Amino acid sequence: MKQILHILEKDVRRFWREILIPLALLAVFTWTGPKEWRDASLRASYIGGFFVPGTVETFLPTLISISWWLLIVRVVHEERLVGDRQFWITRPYEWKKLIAAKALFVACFVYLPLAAAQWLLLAEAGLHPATHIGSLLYDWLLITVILILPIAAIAAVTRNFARMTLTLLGVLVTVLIVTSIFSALLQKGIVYSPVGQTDILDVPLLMLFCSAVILLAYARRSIGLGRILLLVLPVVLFLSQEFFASDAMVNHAYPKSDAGVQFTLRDNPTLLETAHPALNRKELLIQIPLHVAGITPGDLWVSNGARVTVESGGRAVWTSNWRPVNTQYLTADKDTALTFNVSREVFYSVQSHTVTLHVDLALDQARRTQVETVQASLRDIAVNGLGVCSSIIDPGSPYTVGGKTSLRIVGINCRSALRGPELTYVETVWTDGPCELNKTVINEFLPQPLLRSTWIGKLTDDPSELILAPIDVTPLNFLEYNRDQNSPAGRQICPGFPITFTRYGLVRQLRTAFTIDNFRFPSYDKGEDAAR
Amino acid sequence: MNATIHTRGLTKHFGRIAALNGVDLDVEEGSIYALVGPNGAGKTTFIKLLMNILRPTAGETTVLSDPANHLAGKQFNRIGYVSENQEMPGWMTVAAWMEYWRPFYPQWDRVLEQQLVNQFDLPLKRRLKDLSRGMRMKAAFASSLAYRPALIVLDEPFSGLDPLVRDELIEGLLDRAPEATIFLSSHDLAEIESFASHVGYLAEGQMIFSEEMTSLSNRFRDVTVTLDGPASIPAVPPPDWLQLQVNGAVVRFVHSSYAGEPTEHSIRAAFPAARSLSFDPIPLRSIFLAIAKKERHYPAIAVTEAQQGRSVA
Repeated sequence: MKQILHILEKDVRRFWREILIPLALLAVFTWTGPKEWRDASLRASYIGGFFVPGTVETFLPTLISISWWLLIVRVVHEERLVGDRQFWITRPYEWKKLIAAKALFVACFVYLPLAAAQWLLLAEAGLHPATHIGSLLYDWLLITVILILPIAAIAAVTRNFARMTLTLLGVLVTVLIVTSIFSALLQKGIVYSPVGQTDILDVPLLMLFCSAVILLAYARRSIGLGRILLLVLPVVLFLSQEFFASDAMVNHAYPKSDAGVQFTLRDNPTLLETAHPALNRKELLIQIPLHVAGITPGDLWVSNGARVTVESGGRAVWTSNWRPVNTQYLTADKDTALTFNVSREVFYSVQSHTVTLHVDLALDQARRTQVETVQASLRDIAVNGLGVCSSIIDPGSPYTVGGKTSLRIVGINCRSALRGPELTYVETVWTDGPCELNKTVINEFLPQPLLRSTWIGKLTDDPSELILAPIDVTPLNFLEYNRDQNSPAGRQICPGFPITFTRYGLVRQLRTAFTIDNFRFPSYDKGEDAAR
Repeated sequence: MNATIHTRGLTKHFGRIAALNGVDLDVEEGSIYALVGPNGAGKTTFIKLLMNILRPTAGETTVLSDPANHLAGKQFNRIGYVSENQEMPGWMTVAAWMEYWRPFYPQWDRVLEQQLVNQFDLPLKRRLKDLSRGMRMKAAFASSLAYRPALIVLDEPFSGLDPLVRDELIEGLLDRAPEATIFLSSHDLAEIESFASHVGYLAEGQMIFSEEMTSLSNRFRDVTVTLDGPASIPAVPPPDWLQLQVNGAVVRFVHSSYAGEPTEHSIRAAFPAARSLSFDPIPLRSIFLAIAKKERHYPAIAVTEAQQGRSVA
């Protein structure tokens, strides 16, 4: 321990300037964080509920990450592992103590200040930090594996800062190339998988490879092998994603089962009756108008992907890979539509006659787990399992009606700890009239409250996302574009209006199949290609 | 005596290039062993293998009874290593440098440290990066001697230093000699001649010889044979006749296996017409030049212009 502390003390004396930079940035981050949430709320209200990160939210975490990287690289290179001329390699350094000293340095000047900042921010947001220890630990694990370990591994196998930068650029270029290939394949519909977490092995693989590189470098000063491992890593990550995107894994994650839900072709479709060019120019976007029946009250079905086989004249002429579909939240029997891409070649070959469609759907079944109704208020509202919700006040407020001054609530945003909320259906009422008159005047000419709803969050059980700021801000967007585009400027949620949060939890994932006979592909106007 | 350093078949290849080729060596405890050889002979590679800085391609090495490839951590408590091109943390002052190493060595001797600082006249408040090359070497020496290591390994320690600094370092080193084995490499023979007890000659990755300095000095002689008439020399001179020169009636060479009277008899027999013979001791520098030239395949016989065209027996 004495040697560990001795090396640590030397490193602190050496890098006190480098230490101060992330500390100062974290201090600014902690100071400005709460202001950013409030500004974010305002911004969200102006642009219809879409969250746009502010300057601080965008740049500070990036700057903090870069300053950590600089610090880690410098402290690793202080006892450089590459080369044969270093001052320390023929001294009684013990590699375990050296690595422990470096880890302690990172703990003291990266994790400890981060933990303090996150604790303060959670407390400031009204989210009790002590109740989120598990999520914080998971966040630190993600930060370690995704931000800290890779840079430490690269530093361990490079000679100096310039070489490290070049290596980092090399790794980034490799990742970009691999990602581009992946994206290109995705656009062609080759590697999409309804299995949401095809990156499930990314964290373990990153941890395994980077730890191996670091341990090999410190224990054996085996640099060449470490470099090979770093080069192999992006390929392994890519292959693991490919594996999880494979049909076998889809079949494993979504076993074939009777959903108890029936999908039938709508008799009288009105939605999209023409095909449109898809993002991939070789494909067209087709909608299959469907009716869904048999949904049990309290259940929710989410479609995650589809695979379509087109059969003509008794033989399959085309089978798609798994394709992303428009995500539907189905809580009751309703008309809906399945949108998917088909190649132009297939489209033109079957357009003139009817075909049979065999559709495989990957579905998530969720169930209502909690319903909570709160009253809109100018103060913060705690919502169980979600966090704390605040009213977005119109910056034009206060306004005066009948001699009384009021603040106008134009929206709601909710703050959650370290991750977005679980999938939640939120309902409330808006009014186009002044709140005071709604309360006191019975007037048949006054606008009646309008029922509005929105979905927030997702069906996931990850305790945290990779974030430095421990607060996730989710604005509730109650705008319905078709109905609200001409809404009066005075639309608001009045204090006391009910807001109902209905949370859903994942029950199972399954694959269901249905057949549509006598389907005729919609028409396609080739003029649309020219218009693009 | 125990061998402080012991190697058998030590081999190191860098790709296709063999830097060391099956080197066998034993360095006795308490000796001052100088490993010499021309540039590129493999001296630094040999030392880096001893210090486990490089891994051997083949062969075995023990240092202070430990396998060299296990040398790490606490084992370096007993070894002091200084290299001419060793990096040092330039941001540290000399005082901080000495202070930093103290806790690493349980046997660190503060009195000796102070003595070395005084002896080397080290400026404690100056940063290492601001020191001259000589001063930096002195700081490296002081930090490697203050814990009284059992083995001191020096790689070209005096290279490029002015004579005054060199003498100061040698003086500091010799003060430690009674309690340590010293192993150093050098290509400057003059600097080691005065204090080395043993010497080894490495050329092209092979150990040509390794022996005590006195034995080496005794077996090399500058032989001058003066004949009455033109020289008649063997067509193929014996292998221990190095740098054979014929100049009129005078034949000169370096004898590398001089053993006193028997050698003198054999040479007299080789030159029956010799008017006089002389066997003079030669400095180390001349010994190594003779060996180096032999290793580089210089002509075995150098004949002066006047002698050219005459036959040899």
